[in-house]
Amino acid sequence: MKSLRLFLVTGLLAFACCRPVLIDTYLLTEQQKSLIPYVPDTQVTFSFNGEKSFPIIITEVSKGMQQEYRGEESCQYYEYERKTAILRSVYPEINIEATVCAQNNESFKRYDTLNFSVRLGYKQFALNCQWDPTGISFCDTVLAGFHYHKVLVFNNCTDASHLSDTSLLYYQHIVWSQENGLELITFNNGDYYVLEKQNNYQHGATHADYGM
Amino acid sequence: MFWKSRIIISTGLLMLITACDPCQEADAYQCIEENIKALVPDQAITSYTLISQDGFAESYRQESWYDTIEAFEPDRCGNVFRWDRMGAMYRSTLNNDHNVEFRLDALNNTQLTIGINYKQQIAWDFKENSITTSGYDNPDYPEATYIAFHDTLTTGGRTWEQVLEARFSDSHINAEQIKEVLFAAHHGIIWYRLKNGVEYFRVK
Repeated sequence: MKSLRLFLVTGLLAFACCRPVLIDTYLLTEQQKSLIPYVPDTQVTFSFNGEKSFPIIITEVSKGMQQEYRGEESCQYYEYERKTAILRSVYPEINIEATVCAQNNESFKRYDTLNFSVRLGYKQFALNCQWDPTGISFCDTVLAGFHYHKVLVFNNCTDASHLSDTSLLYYQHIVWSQENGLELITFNNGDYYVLEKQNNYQHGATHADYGM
Repeated sequence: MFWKSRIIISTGLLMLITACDPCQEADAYQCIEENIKALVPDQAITSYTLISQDGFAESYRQESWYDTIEAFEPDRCGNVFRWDRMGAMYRSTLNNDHNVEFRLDALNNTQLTIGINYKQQIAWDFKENSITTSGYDNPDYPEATYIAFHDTLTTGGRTWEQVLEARFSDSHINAEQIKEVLFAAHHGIIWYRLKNGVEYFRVK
């Protein structure tokens, strides 16, 4: 009787588990990798309204493979490469996480065709506040009086309905370039934090034109 | 047979214990004086903004506000104990973990607890007229070690009435946490200084 019970339990366990099967591996493209042009433990200098400078520290840059199963019950999974950078400032307090994931068109589509996302504090910013099947692309823009060429402009969609009330302060836009990463953060009252200079490393010429 | 007698004895004991519960002499109501209630910001304060000496601003929005009378179930004599409970919660609009939560409760004495950023706690017992503990009892949740009340106090060029001042011990907090803070009756937080020296003033 005891051995029969043991046999049943073992049988059930054997059927309940399955061996994970890797279906495919997706790697970041060179363009995707370059969206996070940071190295850890460096800092960049930002300016508040062009008056007060403060450092933003790149506290972490990580790259690795992530697994994503086809479904909750599935044993088949994809593997995709992911790169993340965390940027922090103590005063003013800013906490940004930028993540880019390799494409996997079959099982999931993230925020855009580049699979690039930016979180400021605990809120995810989006390139489009409404679903846009064409995805996103780099664009030219003028924000807070700064001209940018070929940048990504993220929006605070979760607070969109409050942004017109300038008596309360909300983040509004984030401008991100392939050359410098974080370029600009704007507020709904016209205040902004703008990239002043890269301190510890050099990249190609900035696309930001600071001719206000 | 053995189980039956055990159940009978247990039931009997339970009935005896319940029967011995003392009755209240009458309905009771533990209220909170208006001048204490004033330490919770008015419901009309739906938002406010603080600004640092360098011009960095932060807005807070009222997320909840309540002023209620709680009640226990009637005791076996039908008498009811009721007490005042009041509170408010304000959260920063800047997607961080900054918030200020007021909790005023008359159940056990009358206690005011103010929680800052989910962690720092300021707790005062109005009956004992002394600092009390918030109840979190967690080294990650530092408690104010100094609390004082001022009839009037001037800060940022503005004079406020009925002000609660609280301070935290340096050894309990890190550089980015609040070292000193002021709350004005009806308005809530009006000023604070971080351990690293940064000050924020109430502007609206």
